Amino acid sequence: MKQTSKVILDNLTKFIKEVIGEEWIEGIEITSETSFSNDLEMESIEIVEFAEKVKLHYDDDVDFVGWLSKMELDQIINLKVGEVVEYIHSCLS
Amino acid sequence: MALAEVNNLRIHYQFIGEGKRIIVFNHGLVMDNLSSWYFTMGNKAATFARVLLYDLRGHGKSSRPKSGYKVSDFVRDLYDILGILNIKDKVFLVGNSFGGLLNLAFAINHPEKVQGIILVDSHVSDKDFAAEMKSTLELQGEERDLMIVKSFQKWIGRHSERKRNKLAETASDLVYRTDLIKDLKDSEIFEEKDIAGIKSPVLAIYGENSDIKEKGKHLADLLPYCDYRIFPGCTHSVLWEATEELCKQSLEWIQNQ
Repeated sequence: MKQTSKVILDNLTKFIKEVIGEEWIEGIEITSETSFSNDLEMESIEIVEFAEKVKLHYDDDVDFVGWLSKMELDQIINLKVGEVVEYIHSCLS
Repeated sequence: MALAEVNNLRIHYQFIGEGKRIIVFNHGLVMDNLSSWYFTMGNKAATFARVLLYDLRGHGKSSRPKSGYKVSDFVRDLYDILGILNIKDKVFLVGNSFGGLLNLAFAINHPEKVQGIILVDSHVSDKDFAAEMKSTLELQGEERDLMIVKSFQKWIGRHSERKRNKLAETASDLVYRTDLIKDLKDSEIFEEKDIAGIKSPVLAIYGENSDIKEKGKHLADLLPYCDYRIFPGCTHSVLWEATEELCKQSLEWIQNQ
């Protein structure tokens, strides 16, 4: 059954917490509008770790590396959680 | 997180993409890790090649031992990672700054493993190298923060405190609580004949305003098969100042080999 955007967002939130630790995002609600670099202040290497988790979890259906490869650096830096949700959602149909 | 047990250390790596060619990326010293390459050229290269990115010992998510930071230690790590990942084919090496120096050291020691080399404003292991590194790496206070901001300017973003603190912590840990600088100083120096003996094709890219541009030119003159290109208006941070053009030219060069 296709995952809803809500389930995908919950999964991504779990990955983010695993990468940067609960204490850093205490009080921050992760929504579609949350940006990895600016709002969550994730370091670039933490975003790599996050990407790896996405890749492992959705490997059969989602070409996450291919998706990132089409982006310029500025896009990646300004990436929002919702954009990842949307991309994964579109792959799972 | 993918970790390889190498020389009693855990080395964090990412092995992505598919294709005939294998491309290995080496990042710079201290205020750097595999993410610089991952988000610039790594993912793009992974659309046509197998790509290995890893954190050098002491950096990123790899172990940070107290000592063992000679150039030869870094070379041995890479050789062993290739072994662990069962990579038997020749590889392309892409390195930024100190990462380029590692490419050369690796090619001198293991020529049979190397298909081609890309140097991005690469340092050269000559008699001045350790002193140059020391003066940059031992910066303190505001000067150090400036260097961090310069190195990671794109990533720092608006709310920079957490990131800057973490980067500064890592930097001072490496510089003051390990033997990094001493070990680099004690590392072997490349002889001109060693450089001249590198038979792999090399693409050397330097910033027009880089302080090591002339060293790069001398290096390119010694290398038998070197394509030396200057990027106008760029400094030593050419990877960040001309990301798109650098990726385009580098990947085209690899695909034409």
